[in-house]
Amino acid sequence: MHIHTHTRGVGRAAGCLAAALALGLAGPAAASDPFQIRVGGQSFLVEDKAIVGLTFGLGVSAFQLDVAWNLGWATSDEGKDTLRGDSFFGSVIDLHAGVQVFSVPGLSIRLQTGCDIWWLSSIHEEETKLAMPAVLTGEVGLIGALVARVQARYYLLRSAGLMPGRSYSGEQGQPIILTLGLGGSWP
Amino acid sequence: MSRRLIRHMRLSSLGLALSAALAGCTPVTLDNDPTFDFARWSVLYVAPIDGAGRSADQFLVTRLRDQAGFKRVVTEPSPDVNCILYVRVDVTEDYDSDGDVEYDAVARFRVESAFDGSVIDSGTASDDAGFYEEALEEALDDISLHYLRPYRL
Repeated sequence: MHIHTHTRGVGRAAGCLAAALALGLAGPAAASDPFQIRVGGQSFLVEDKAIVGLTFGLGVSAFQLDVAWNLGWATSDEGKDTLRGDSFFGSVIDLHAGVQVFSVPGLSIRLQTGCDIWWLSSIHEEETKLAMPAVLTGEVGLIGALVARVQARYYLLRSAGLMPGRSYSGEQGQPIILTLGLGGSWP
Repeated sequence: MSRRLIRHMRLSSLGLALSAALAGCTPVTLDNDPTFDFARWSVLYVAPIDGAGRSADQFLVTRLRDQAGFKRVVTEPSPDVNCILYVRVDVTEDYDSDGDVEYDAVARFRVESAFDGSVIDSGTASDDAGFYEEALEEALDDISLHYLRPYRL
């Protein structure tokens, strides 16, 4: 048994990101604008937890890169017991890259992969769970630069103990995590 | 693509997003199911660390009390102790390509039964940092991560 947490975690994250970049660079181009910047906020639609964060996205032709830093709180009593009375459990960091597969004025769809880092800093500063998601994101223009975003992610690979779709009592449901977001997109 | 079709697709997408929101939330459970049997080996005596001072002992004990799954972590042998943690630390000084000093800390640890001295668990934790204390504490902190308490969130 050998422990070297920093190196192991960063190595896995770098591997996920490299795969995502390869997919993005190899994918077909279908963008309406050659260069695009997005900023916004998002909320995870998950039970017994409140996870909200800020998102930043960059599009160059069809290549799309999105990062997000989300903060999470347990909202159930069971979760607070685990956290010894506290409710904040840590962060979820999204590193997603891929391609825009569909785009018309006011509507775009992206397909991405990458790395999700569930950093449970309230449990231990180095306690992380990693996942490689398949991410489908739809973005709809509302007024001017304002866009609404819905995102579905399914974990292709994940650390032991990270269980989407599994309830606290152990019942297994559908494992797709949805997020809703609102932000700006330029141009 | 006609404007009418695009408008229809946008409205459909918004409707889909709202439906998703109203459909309810997915549970996501995070848990740690350690391989170490904390129920059986519940009271840990931390022997003085070989190769480091008392402040390192105190640091490790504090981290284990805060983070680990043991019911009690003690610094003196007592009749209720059922396992003992031995740690040996080696910190080496190295220089990177810029000539800056870097410390590599390696902590070899093992937990023995207090009854018969059999080894229950063992491992190696290593870390590096620009300061001696930081490298040492990060390696010791990895031991507390190894014995992280069970949780379900």
